[in-house]
Amino acid sequence: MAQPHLTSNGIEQFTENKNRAALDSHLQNCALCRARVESASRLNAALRAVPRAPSARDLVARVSAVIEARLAQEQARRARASFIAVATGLSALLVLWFALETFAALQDNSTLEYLEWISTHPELFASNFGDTIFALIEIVPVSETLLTLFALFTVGVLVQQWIATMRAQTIMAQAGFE
Amino acid sequence: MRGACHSERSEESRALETYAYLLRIIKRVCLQSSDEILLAQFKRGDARAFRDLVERYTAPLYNLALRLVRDPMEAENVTQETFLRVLATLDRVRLDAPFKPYLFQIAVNVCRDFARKRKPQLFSDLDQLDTEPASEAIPDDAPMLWERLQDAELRERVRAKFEHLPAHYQVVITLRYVEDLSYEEIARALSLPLNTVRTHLHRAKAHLRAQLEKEN
Repeated sequence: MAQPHLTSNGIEQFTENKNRAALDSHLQNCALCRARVESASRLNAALRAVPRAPSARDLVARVSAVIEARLAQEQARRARASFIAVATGLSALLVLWFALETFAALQDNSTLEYLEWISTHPELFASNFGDTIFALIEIVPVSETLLTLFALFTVGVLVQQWIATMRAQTIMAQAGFE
Repeated sequence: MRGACHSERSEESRALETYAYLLRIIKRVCLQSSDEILLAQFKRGDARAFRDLVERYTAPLYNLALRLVRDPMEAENVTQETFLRVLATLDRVRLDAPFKPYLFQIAVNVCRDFARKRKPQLFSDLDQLDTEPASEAIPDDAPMLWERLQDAELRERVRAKFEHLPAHYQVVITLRYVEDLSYEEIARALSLPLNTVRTHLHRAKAHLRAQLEKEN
């Protein structure tokens, strides 16, 4: 009894060199399947010869420039990461310290009681608000100093980030990408 | 006499196919290890290694992107964005798996994102491949007129017809025959089941055969 002809899948497998031994015996005795295999092979070969769409000549250079810029940006960001982490930690400590100092000072000077009394007399609060704020600032001079340093530190971080961002943008613009 | 001649031609054709297959395997093994080496070098801090990958894969990625988004500017953006995404996900790139299918998978995802933002209808083809009805039936047992064409002419006509195929057919054919990905790798790149990829490729070629036959 003659073997059935190869299916489309079988022909594809043969052209892809899969399951070849099993199909070979049928092909030796079947001219029709041999012709189909040859036809499929020719079409596959023609498809392999389809060229890639031509791209702009400088595409590799432009993509490379963008990658370089991103790498530079990434390296700068990584270099800043530890600095930013330390700054954030110190800033958080300063905020905590300042909050505790303020709370202690407010308790020592009975300011909390004063504020409580003022809240029950809002008409007096309006006339004494400025004096209350100045009094608070005067009783915590250490915190004022630390706040100034914190502000300077924050400004330093921001300036550094700004310079790095501008540098990355310049490189990107030179590479021809918006 | 004619039968013997045909048999010899078949043997020759098969030998050539085997030779081409072996060459592809050797090429793939070399390229794959080379990609891995370049990636490993880049992870160790050698920026030049990534530049080599960019040089190697810019043209294939642009080609694939152009087939999908059909706009040269968008295709350039997709190419660039694909490499940037590789950089962004570098920690997750596996060195023990082929890099090329991973790269194409990212490119296809970038194309999907671009298409969804700008031209949602473009990608509906690829997203609905599963539900596509079977294309024209081709009688398998009758010799076709295009089969009589000489190789050079056949290549030229296939090239011309290929440009007019629907985008999703161009993509599977490009990945299989131009980029030489396996069915499994195509399935991974397109996020489709393996059998679906087989079906699409079969339909794409049937469509192409029908177009060639129509012309003849």
